[in-house]
Amino acid sequence: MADQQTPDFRELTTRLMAYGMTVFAELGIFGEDIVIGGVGVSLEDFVSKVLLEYSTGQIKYHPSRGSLMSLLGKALKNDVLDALDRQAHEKEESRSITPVPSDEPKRKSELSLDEFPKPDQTLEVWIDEQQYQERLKGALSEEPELLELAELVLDLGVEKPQEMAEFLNISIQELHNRRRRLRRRLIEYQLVIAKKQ
Amino acid sequence: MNKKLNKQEVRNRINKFSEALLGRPEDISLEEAEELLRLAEFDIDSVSANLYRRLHKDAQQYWMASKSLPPLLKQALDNLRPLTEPPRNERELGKQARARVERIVEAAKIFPVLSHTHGAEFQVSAFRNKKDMSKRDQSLLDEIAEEMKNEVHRRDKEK
Repeated sequence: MADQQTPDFRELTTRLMAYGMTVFAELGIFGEDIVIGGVGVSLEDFVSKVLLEYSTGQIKYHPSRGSLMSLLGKALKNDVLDALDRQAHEKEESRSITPVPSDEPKRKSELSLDEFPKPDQTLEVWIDEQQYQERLKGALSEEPELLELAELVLDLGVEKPQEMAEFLNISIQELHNRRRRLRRRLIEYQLVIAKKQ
Repeated sequence: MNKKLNKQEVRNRINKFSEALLGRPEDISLEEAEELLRLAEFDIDSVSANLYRRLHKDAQQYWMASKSLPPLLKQALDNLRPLTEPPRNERELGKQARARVERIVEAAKIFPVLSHTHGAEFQVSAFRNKKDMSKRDQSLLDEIAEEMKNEVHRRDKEK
């Protein structure tokens, strides 16, 4: 198993790639080449970076921190979110830096302000929670059981597995099965969208 | 009115939704991972080979500086070394041979027709050894054998 002290890197690569695909699909960034446009980073780049950092000791693992897959998966997701953040800033900057045709030269204070991001630039620029929820529900709209699960989490805020299972009147095992179906469904949905584009 | 959330707050909320809905990274087993990669038409052999090349490039910096490789990097290179690379020892040679045989067996499972014999080799001759058979019975059996042969050829053509 990859979670033991001597990990199998081939297994880790396979599982991280699959996890990365669910992250991409969840965030609606499943382009044809699975690359975050603008910053030009592919899923393979993210997986390579995380595995390189782990194998050279930049990411340190200790069993007391949970499973290795959990640690590396979280690192990968943070990298994806950071890349999206950079992409949003680049778009925002190119929009704000676009020169407005004017004969008047800019004042010194205006020039210096251009170099800094706007103070109210929040993550909403790149990820809107409502859009996130709508995308997930849209992807699951033809699967009543999965949609019910999504509504439970997104609308009612139920997040603990035990509570979720009780609310849906299903076993924990069935909850895991539904999550597995949900991961697959999200990827299928994004693949269909990517092909339509 | 909704409070405008800062970057970290939004990230935390999305992560909470994500974990509740999709589970944790370790919930994806190797079997499921392979299934998802097939779905997206990812070839894990080529992904591993690309990763190997990247790690190998990084390892070169250690070699050039005459430093020993970090143990995990060494292991990663061993695990991800493509089967197309020349074997460095008997163990790798065995590994490559085993992988090649496994691939052939898998292909035979997917296309069972390839592992079966075809109509041309079809023989119906056991009855010919039977003694005390009337000419009428023999011609009747010949007729049935001919019909079966034709049927086998017809099915082969349909495939």
